[in-house]
Amino acid sequence: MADPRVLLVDDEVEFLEPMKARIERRGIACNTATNGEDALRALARERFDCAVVDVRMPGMDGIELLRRIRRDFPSVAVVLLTGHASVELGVQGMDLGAFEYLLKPIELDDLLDTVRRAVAQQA
Amino acid sequence: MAQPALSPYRRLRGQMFLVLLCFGYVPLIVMGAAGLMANREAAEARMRNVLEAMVKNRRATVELFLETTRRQLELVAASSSVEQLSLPTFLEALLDQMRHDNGPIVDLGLIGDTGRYLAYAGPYRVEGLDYRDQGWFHEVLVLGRHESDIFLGLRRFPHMVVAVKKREAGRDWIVRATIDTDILSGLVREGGLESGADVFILNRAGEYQTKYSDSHRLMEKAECGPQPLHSGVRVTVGRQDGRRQLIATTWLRGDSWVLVAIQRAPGLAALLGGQSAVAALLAVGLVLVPVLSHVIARHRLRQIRGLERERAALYESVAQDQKMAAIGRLAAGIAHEINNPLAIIQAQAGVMADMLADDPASRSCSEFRERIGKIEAQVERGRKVTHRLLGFSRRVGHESEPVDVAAAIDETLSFVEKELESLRVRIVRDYAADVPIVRSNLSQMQQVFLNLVNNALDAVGDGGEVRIGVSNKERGVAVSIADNGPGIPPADLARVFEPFYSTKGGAGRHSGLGLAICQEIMRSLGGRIAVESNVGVGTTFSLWFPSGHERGDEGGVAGS
Amino acid sequence: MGWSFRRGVDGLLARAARRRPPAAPGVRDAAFRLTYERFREILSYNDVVLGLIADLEDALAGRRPFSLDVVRERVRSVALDAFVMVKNLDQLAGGAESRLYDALERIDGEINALWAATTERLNGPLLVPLAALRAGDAQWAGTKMANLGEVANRCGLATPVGFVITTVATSRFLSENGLWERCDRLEAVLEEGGPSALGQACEEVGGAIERAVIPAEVVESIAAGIEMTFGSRRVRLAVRSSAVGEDSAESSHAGLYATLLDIAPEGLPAAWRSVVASAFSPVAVTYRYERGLSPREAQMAVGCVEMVQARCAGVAYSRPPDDPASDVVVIGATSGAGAALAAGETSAETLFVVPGREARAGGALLGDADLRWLVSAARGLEGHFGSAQDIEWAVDVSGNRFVLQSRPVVAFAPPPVPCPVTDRSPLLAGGNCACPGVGSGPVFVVRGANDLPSLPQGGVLVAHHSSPTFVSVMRRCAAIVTDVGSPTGHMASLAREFGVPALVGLEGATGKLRPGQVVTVDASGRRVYEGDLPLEGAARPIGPSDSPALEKLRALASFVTPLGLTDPSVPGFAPEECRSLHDLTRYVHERAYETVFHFGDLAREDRHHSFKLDARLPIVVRVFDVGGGVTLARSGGGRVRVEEISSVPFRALLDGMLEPRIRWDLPRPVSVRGFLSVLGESMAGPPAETLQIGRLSYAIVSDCYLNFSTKAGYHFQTVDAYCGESQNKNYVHFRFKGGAADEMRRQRRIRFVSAVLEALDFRVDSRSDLVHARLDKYPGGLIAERLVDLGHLTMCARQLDMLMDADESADHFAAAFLAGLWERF
Repeated sequence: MADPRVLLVDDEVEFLEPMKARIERRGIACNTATNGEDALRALARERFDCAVVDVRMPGMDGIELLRRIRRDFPSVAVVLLTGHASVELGVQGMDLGAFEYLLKPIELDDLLDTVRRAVAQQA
Repeated sequence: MAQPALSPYRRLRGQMFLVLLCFGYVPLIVMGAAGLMANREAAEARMRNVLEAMVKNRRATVELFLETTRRQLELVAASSSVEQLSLPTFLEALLDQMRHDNGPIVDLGLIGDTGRYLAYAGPYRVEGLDYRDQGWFHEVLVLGRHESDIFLGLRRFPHMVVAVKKREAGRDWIVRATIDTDILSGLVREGGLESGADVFILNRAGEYQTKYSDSHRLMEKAECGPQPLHSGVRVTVGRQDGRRQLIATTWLRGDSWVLVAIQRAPGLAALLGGQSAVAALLAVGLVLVPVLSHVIARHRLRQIRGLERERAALYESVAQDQKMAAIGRLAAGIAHEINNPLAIIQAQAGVMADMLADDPASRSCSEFRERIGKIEAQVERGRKVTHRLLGFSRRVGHESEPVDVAAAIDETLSFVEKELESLRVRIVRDYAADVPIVRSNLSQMQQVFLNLVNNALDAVGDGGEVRIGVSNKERGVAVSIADNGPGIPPADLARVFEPFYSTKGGAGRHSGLGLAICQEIMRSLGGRIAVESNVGVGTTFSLWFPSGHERGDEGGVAGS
Repeated sequence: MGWSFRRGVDGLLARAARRRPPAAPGVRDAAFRLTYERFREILSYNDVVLGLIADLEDALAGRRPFSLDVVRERVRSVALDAFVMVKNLDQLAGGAESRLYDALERIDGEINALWAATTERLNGPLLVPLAALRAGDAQWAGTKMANLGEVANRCGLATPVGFVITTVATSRFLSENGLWERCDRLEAVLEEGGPSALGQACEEVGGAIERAVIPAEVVESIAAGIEMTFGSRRVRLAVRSSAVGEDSAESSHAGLYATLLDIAPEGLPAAWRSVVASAFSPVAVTYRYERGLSPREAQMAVGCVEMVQARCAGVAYSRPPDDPASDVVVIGATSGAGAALAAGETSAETLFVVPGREARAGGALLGDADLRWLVSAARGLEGHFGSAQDIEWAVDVSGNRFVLQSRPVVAFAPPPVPCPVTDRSPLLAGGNCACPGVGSGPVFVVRGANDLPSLPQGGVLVAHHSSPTFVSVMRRCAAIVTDVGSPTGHMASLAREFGVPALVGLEGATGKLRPGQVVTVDASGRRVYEGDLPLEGAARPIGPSDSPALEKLRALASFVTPLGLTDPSVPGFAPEECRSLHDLTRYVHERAYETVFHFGDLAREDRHHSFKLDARLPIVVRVFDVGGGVTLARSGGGRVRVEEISSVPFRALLDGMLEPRIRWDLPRPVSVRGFLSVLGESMAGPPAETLQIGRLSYAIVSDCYLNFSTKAGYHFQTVDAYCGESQNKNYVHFRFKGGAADEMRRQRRIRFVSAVLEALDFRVDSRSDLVHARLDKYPGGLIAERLVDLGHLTMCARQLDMLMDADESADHFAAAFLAGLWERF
């Protein structure tokens, strides 16, 4: 299977920058966006297989972003990655078609496993 | 901390024992005393009757004896002429005959109105004795007869005299006999006496007329003193040497002598001896009561302690629930605040590790890698804590692995190396050699160590000392972490394990959750945590980890 | 069996170790592993939820103390567990179960709504004139003032003029001074430190409130309110609490909060602050705690009305509190202001007035016209508010009549029990019945509030005058008797609310009743007897039976514990029908098995197939192999023989189940009583789990793993085990639940099962009729032995409850079982 292309969306650059470096080092193409609008623009610009999205973000939050992605880019799998464990957010996210709801922090390998599975299912 | 907890129970047990003892003994003693009183009264009533009967009987005997003696003498005086009586041979024959009948008469004499012996038969020398000035002599001459008390008389020897007057040819003669006082004493004591009893005769002056006992001699003043005159038999109660005694008296011989019988009251032993059932009951009671008291006190105490413990456990579980709920609420609110930075730390450390992996030639590469590994381990630990608090990672059971406790502590200390250096805190390791490997959760264990070591470092400040001991204890491993800091006041000590309780002042650095979490972790590991502290001396946290090797460990299948 | 069996197991273990399952293609293997993981996760989360459910049931039945905070926290985290279960199932089912999210969201929303804090109200008016108030304004103005507004503006009755300083002002004041947190902590202090600690803490909090700075906007609003309401008139004000929920029909809060009288307008801000502080007095905190109300529910508004220069004042009940059916208005009157009367400190003139016959009522204080007005006001307000009213009134020196407040009569006592009759002559007779009923116990004389904590459970509280502070002991006292006091006082209201028989105004009670003397108080008959008489109506439940806390727990539990989804074979077994977390997890659990089943079906060409177990057993067992559990080479369904099972744990379990001496095929020696019991329960409706997994039993096996669920007889049980070489991973979990027959028999069977499992070294946790036993980290051989034992148990416990006629029989059968006397079962 071709290695997937991943879009990381998180409002914390401190998190995005090393994650991008690590993911790319494992041969997976990775872009980042620090807010929902940027993410949607990036998705419109190029092809991604999977978006890893933080839930709590200023401006458009992860749930809203998920909704837009499912609507406008249905081929992109969405994995929610957040520090919040909440039934409400989890249910909303899964209900809206997120592939998985993961809690930070998570081992990189576990995250990539999930991403691969998400992409595989989407395919 | 644990030591004073026991003593209230000891005291309580002592008190209960005493109370029960009282409850047992008081009725026993009251019953016994009442029994004894009743017993004594009965015994005394019986004694009284016995004494009365005896006294009457003895009086009759003595009076009969004296009467007989006197009549014998009167018979002699009446039946013999002065002429005959003047013959010593006749007199001796008479005496022989009287003594032959085991009579009490020791000698016999005829005295003329001059007061001198005209004839005498007996063992004494009487030549030259002149009774003209003696009171009894004149008494006989006037009253016709005389019976003396026991007296020394002219012979300087205790004796008793019976004399009768004989009138013949217009002149008065006196027939006089001396009576054997031993026989009189024998008569009085005749037939034996009950133990503790004695019978004797006193004269008006209260002098012994019979031998009372070996320690008293005739004619001495009796201890009970002169007896008052009365008719019939009188029984009184007296005391001697602290013991009750019954004294029966009766006057005889025309109220010149008094017959005294003394019976000592029976002692406790005697009384008890007479009532073996009561005695046995008392004895059994005396033995059983303390034994039962002890047993009951122990039993009740055990029940009380059980209840206390149950209540304490219940309270603790409720309180602990409460506290964990508080932590849970806190965690739900702020876990993401922790999770997000953790995620960043993890990502940063990960990227460093990746960079190192790309450049294996770099110097000090291995040390970096090691340190990054430690960062990642800590992130993982933080992750477990927050996820657990959120209830998000509830797996079946928790992982456990073989842990070398001392090594785990050393590794933990390496996390705070920098701090140790800057603070110049001395770490004293006191690790026993025989410490077993325990089966436990390493990361949770280290979390506890780290918390406690950090606490200790905060407590001692610059230049202090922290002692860490590891030893083998109760099928597990004991760890102590002691600092020589300022200590925790007793009032605070009880609360250190409460969430949000912090003695360190609100610098904002400590949430106050540390020790609460430690306690929770120790509980989940099946271990124990305790704290001991003396103000001005320092604080010691004691941990105990179970070995974690359950039964059947040595059998079964060897690991692959 | 031990020796030869152990060898057999060791052999199996060795073989399992040699033979690794053949490597499958990476992704499919990973996917399968994931499925297996998710499935296992569902199972373990299911246990957590069931544990909570059992705990809640215990708490509801009063078997376990609970704290709402803890329950709330556990429910919150269990909802998360349920979420993970739902997520896993949905993923297992490939998105086919997404409707569950809606169900979970709905239930979670309901639970959250239940807890939604109706607390800080920071926006809204700070002050509202009485003239503008209606009953619907209670959220701002508090119940008392909102009702008074209704009286003034809708009922046309005169009230003093004034305004209310709203809950918004209170909230801002407390928030701006950071006082909420300290107030919140009071309840915890009470719980952990008891009444004495509470007193101190309340003093501190009260002091902090008294010292706190009143926000400028509040001060300004008050000044504006005075200006607007009274103009330049010099007035004196009565400042009274008006908390939200105070004086409502459910909870009176009677007399718990401060009322300050004769306050000059310039002193109003400080007086307001004092009344706010009174919401955190020990009595008030205790009351809310006892009623299960949270500290933040003490939303205090404060009413400020002009003082009435009263000639006489008092209370009026539109119906007698102890006899709501009778057509009588009860009027309490005293000369001067009425506060002392309400506080129970003086005796009042009490009149029982029959409407229309006011003239005959007599009484020295009130004229006929006053009486007529009072009666018509009382009945008018009753009509307006739709329930019997408790009215405070005053007549001023000029003869003007005012209604000072009107509130529902709280907690009409249960219909008056007929006066208990006894031929014993009473110790004391007289007084007024404040709350009907009979209570007996040792006399405990209370001289001051400090004595209250020592009042023994079930004691009879005897005091000189009645006091609302008695609320702190109303749960534990059997009856209340006071020398002085009025049945219309605050304490009387509280006594009725808590259902404590109370006799007030019984002269000489403190003198004649000796401390410790056991007496029976017949409040209805207004008599006190010596000794504990078995009078009718004496039984009063003491305890949290009807506390609001329990009600809240019940409401909460209604979203957690009820199991509505029982039969998976009916259409109603659907996410939409899930009403509780129990339903939800039940559904997930059930569907998880089915999903694994379907997973096997879908992967027909794989080795993951289900087989029908070919064994001489009274149940049908379908076996799912998830890796090395059977030795069959062939794919496809069909049958698997016992010898072909290579799953170590399953083989061990089967060994036990197939024990030839357990004669399940013979008719059991059913006792008639036991049979009738089972029959009765079945006719009364199948117990929740009767139809748990239809008629099938499932065994999901790998070489070292077993998950075996069965409905054997009428109970449901699960054996979940791992039995491999790594001792650390080995475990046996055993869950046992349900069963026909009545509660008693079921409990006996639970006892039997628990006893057996404990003897077999299991850690056993039994709650309600759920037994959960665990054995962790034992060597493989021992785990296998225990599985054999569980096999025996599975067969022996079938319908065992029909045999259990006596309590001893549980122990008897346990002993027989452990001795291997299986013929008896």
